[in-house]
Amino acid sequence: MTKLLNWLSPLQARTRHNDVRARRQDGLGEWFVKADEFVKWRDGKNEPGKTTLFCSGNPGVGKTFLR
Amino acid sequence: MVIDRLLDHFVGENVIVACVYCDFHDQERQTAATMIGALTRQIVKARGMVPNKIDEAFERAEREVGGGRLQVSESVKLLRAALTPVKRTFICIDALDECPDKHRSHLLTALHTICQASPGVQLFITGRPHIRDAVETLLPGCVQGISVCTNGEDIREYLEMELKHDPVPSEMNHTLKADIMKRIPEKIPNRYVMVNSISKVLSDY
Repeated sequence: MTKLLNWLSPLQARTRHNDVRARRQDGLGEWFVKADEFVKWRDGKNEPGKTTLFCSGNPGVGKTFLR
Repeated sequence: MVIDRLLDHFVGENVIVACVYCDFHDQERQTAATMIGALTRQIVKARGMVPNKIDEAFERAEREVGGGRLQVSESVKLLRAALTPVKRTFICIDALDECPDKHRSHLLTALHTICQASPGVQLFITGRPHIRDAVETLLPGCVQGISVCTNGEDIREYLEMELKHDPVPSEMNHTLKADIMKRIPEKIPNRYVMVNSISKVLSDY
């Protein structure tokens, strides 16, 4: 199984996520997960076909900590 | 945050969250094929079983000279095979602007194919504003935008936290603290800047 997974991709995304999670502060970005755009997207209530939520911001606004 | 919240929200349901973080320093390894492969990898792991199509492709590749590295088109087929019976899948792509143009367009095109073929797939993409055009062009009609800005509450929470770790607590008092809590949020321009800039304003204070 490990060999097959490594063949699919050598990238290990989970490790990266846990690293970012450890540096993130609880409470920061709370507004984001309550935002209308996010909730509608999560619940599949956007207009038909709008399956992608593109979250844009300049460097340093904290996009990475939202993921 | 988003990933954890999605996992918490849908706990116990047939929902999978897979993610890729684009990193400017990891461009050698991060191609469209390896990033799509990383999504397939996570989905296969989450399901706890390998779909037949993927198993067969792997065995074919093993017989090839040089290990048969995955090309983008093959990688997309395998991701589709991994997704088939999953009700809903959230795919998160972080810092897409850090992915080189050539890989970015392949990746977005592949994701568009996936979304069209598998209706249960939803994408969450983050990136700097300058890639918005590319995202909207390659995922036509699929994109809802949201700008990251912060609000007063975020700033105050961050300040409270920083003040708790004040390296020189003896110099802090109630008046100074109240002053900081009032004046720093006023200095953050357009409520648009988050952690890095707040730290800067705080250290200049």
